[in-house]
Amino acid sequence: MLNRTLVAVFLRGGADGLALVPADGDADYQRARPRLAQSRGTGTILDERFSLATELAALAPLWHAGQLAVVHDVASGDDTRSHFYAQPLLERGGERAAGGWIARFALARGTHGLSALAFGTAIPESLRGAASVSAVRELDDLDPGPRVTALGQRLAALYDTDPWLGAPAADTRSALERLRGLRRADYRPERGAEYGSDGFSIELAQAAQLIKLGVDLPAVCIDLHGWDSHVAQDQFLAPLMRILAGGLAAFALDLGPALERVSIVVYTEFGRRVGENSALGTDHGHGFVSFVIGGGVRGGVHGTWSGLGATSLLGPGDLPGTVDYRRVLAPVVERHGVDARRVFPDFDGEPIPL
Amino acid sequence: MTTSRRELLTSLAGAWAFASLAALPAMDWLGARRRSSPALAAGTPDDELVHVMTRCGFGVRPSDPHLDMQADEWLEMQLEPDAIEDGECERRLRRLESLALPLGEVYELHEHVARHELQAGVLLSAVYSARQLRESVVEFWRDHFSLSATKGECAWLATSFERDVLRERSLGTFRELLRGVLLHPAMLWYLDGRLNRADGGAPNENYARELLELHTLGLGGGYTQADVQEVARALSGWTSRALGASRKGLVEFDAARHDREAKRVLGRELPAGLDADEVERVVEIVCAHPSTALHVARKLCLRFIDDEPPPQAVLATAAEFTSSGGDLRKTLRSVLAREEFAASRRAKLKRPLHFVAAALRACDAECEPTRGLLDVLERLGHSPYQWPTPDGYPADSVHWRGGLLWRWRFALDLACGGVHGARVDARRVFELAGGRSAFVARCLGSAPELEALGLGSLSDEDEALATVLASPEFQRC
Repeated sequence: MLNRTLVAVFLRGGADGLALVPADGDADYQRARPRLAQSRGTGTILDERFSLATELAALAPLWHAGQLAVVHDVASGDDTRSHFYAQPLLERGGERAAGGWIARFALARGTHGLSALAFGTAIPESLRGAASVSAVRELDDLDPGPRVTALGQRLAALYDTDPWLGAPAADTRSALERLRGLRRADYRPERGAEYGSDGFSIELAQAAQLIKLGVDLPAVCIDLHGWDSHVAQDQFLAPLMRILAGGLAAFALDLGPALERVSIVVYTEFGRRVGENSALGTDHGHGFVSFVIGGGVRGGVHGTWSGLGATSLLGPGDLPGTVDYRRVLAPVVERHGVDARRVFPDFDGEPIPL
Repeated sequence: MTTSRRELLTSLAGAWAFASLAALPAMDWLGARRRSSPALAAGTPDDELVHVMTRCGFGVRPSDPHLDMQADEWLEMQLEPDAIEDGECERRLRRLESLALPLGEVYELHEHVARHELQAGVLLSAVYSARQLRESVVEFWRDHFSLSATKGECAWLATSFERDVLRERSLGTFRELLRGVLLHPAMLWYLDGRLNRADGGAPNENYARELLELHTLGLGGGYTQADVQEVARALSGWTSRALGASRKGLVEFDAARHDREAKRVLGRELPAGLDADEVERVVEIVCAHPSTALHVARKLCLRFIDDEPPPQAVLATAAEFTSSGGDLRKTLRSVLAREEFAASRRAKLKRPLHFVAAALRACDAECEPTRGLLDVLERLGHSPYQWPTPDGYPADSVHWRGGLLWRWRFALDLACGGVHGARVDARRVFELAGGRSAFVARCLGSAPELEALGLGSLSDEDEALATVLASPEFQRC
């Protein structure tokens, strides 16, 4: 479906699902984290088991509006605890398929505009193999300048008669028109949305700018780094969570009705150990929490939860990953009109009804 | 793809079919010299030559001394790459010192340096080598035996893989090429062969599966999961020395890690105790399998003839592969001798590496092995040795249709001198060719008139050059 955009937010470093969405209704959680646990009632209560972290308070309006889906204990089938193995594993979306899952998504979805956009200096693994993907530090980099636009116009008649390249060329010309003179500084968010001055929020604001411009854009990839919380995690996860929630909330508010055609999915490479360590941090674990926002998502807490009892934990005491991450991504992909089997060819699990 | 390999295989219904394939009419236009083409201005290649230089190489370079050749002569010359003088390319590659280092010594460099020089070497060779067909064939094998320089120690090992295996054996026999791939430390790393050991648990099947599925028989080629497991057992015990060891990259056979029991691969018995020789038997069995001939034939025809390769061409190519004992030069020659090849002018889309190299060649650009040009390939999604999965960059045109925005930008940046690492002087490019019409004729053969390109009314030389490079004709090959 053209004109729908998938926004994938990757929390790099292994984000602690039990910090983002604590199981503060579960006594085992309090026991496992005597010093780090959030007490029940300080964060928005999601159901009898879970609350949002207090630092994610900015997401509460989305939750109450039924626009925030929370899936706990998501993971890949591989219990690796290596960042450098787990990140590409999830970004590829399977062992056997070629390229990254967002690249395959963009390819199957089809576009002759921008295909996909990543903020940063490098193209992430999830976009590996996508054609016409661009990594930009800021939108101004996309301004083609008048000469490229003129070049496209000059060649329009020739391309029009080309059976293969005619349509892609026409779409490219239209994208060029829209991107012309694009300046980040000119952007005015709507509906009173206030983006923070952090890099994550700035990138989301630019994504909103681009989406509202009407340039066909199947996917945007945004990374938020710094989740590797081995030590004193309260201190630096708190501001990071505020940045995450503040950015997403401003983005959703700013998009307004356009949020209907945008799906935001938040994921990470793995969650963290259930029990806190001696340094007031948590070590690499397995199951993580994932958020899906927008695009007509069914809000609520989804998935299966086997609790935090010793028998349900994996290996050194990790969430077992009862939900394959593709059960979360597949329904999102489908909502954008793409057959999930094309994106995750070696996955045949049951999509979560988001 | 209209005819799937499975349909082809079904239609073959057994190896006996190959016998009758030899009787297919040979449509060999390579031997049939055609001197009757109308006289062209000196230095202007005829359309057949433009076609073969564009399809089998990285496009026409206006300063190429062979533009007066006939297409068939050029192909025959290109099929013997070692006889072609290639001093300019060798000189330019000399700055990339790691390319000449023995395998283990590449480890002395930072892995980013090794990877950068490897990628720069691929691009510079495509642009400057006079052995254009070989560069195209090496690119073909680079995808067939794809590996990513981002896995394990591949960044250091891929240099030797490219040079000592793909380049060295690209036009020899398939069997020697496969042997080289199979026992190269880069592939042992990439597909985990080095971790495949029989002592302590089940062997690692990763390489065995890709060997059958991608490198030889192909998906649906008639092997079973049992064959994968048997091949994995047969290849167990091969490993390579890693970082921290002396003689890094050295490939060794460790009998203690090898499964010494008898095996059965694709219906053939491997007696117990063959040890290191077992790998030779496996290579022999998979190379002789009729599905391997078809798989390689189909991919060659897809690369050199059409995205939907004509079944007759595939069958004839497979027959040549079989009857020549997997002689890649003969097999390729038979592909290029097909009428379907001659008739397939501009039937394919240049992949990004091809497009970028062709633009640099057309402009006689002065290229430096800096990051700039490699960034262009990265943006277009086609950096050498970066495809993450073992199936290689897609060969079909459809995959690559979406990148026009970046192709146009590159065309303009290049013509205006705005690509870091590539110097182009548009005025000089046109002057050397003898004018804009002559330039277009050299690069594209009979192509659209200048008026259609909108060049007639364009006074700016840079924009005129960019227009040619960004035109639909230039995207095709």
